[in-house]
Amino acid sequence: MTITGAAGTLTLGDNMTLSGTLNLPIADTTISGGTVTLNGGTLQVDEDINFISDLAQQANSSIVVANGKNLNYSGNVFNVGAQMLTLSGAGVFANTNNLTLNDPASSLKLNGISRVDNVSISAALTSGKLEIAQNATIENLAHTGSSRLDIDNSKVLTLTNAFEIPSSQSMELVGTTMGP
Amino acid sequence: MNGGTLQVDADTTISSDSTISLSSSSNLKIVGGSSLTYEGDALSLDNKTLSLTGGGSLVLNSDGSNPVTLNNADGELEFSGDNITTVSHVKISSGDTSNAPTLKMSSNGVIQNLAHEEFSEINFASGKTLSITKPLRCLPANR
Repeated sequence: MTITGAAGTLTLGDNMTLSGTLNLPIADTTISGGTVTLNGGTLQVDEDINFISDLAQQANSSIVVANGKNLNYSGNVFNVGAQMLTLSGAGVFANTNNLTLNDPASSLKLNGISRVDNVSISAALTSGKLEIAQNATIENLAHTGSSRLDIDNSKVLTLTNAFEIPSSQSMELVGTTMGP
Repeated sequence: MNGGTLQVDADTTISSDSTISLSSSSNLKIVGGSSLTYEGDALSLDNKTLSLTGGGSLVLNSDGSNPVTLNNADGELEFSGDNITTVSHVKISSGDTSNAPTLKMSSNGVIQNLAHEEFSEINFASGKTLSITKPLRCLPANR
C-alpha cells in the first residue's frame, strides 16, 4: 500500500496487519487510530510522517526511515515482543513513548537508523538483545530489566542521557567483536 | 453505467436480479442520509473510475461477496464532493509495485471493510481523510 498525492490522513478504526509494505513517501501524512501490527512487513518512511496509531509486532519486521526524515511516533508504548525489530534507513525514529524490549526474546537491531528517542528494556533478555549493526544514538534508555548488548565491529552506540542499571539487574556485552 | 450518473435520493435497493457494470468511468451519487443497498454481482471497476459523491452510503452484502472490486491496476475508486460517502466493502485484487489500483481521496471518505489482496495506492488531496473502520490485512510480497 502506497500513499501518494498530498498530505492526508489514513484513519484506522481497528487493526491493520502489515505483512507486506506500507510506503509513506508524502510529507506530513498522518496515520491515526487503531493499531498497525507488524507481521513480517515493512513500514517504509520516505518523508516526515505523523504516526499516531499504535504500533505492535507479531513477527520479525522492519521500519525504514529515509536519511534526514523523521518518523514521529506518538502512539502507545511499542512492545517488540518475542521477535526482532530492525530499524534502518539513516533517519530518525522520534517516539514519545518507549520502544520496549518487553520479552526475554525481544531483539532490536539498529541497522542504520541514526537516532531513536526512547528505548526501554523492561525484560530480562535471554535470547533477545540490542544489536548495533550501524552507528546509532539512543536519546533515552530506560533499563529496568537486564540487557544483552551486541555492538558490531567498529560500530558506536551513543547513549545521550544518563541511565541506571538497577541493583540485581545487568547489562551483558555479547558478540564476537565489539565497538571501540 | 456508461459515463453517466446514478443518483440515489432515498433509500434504494438493487436486488440480486440486477448487476451494475461500468462500460466507462461513471458517477454514483448517494445523497446524505440515504443508502443504496446493492445485492447484485461484485461491482468490478476494470480500468475505469467510479466516482462516489453525495455523502450517503453504498451498502454491499455483509458477507463481502459483492464488493466494489479494483481488479485492474488502472482502476480507480474516487471519493469526491463536499460530503463523506461511505462504502461498506471494497476489495483490491490487482496491481504490482509500479502500478496499482487507486483509492483517490478528493474528499473525505469511509471504507468499512477493505480486502487488500494485492497492491494499492491511496492518493490524497491535501487535508483529506480515508477512514477504514474494520480490521485490515496487508498481505505479503511487498503488497
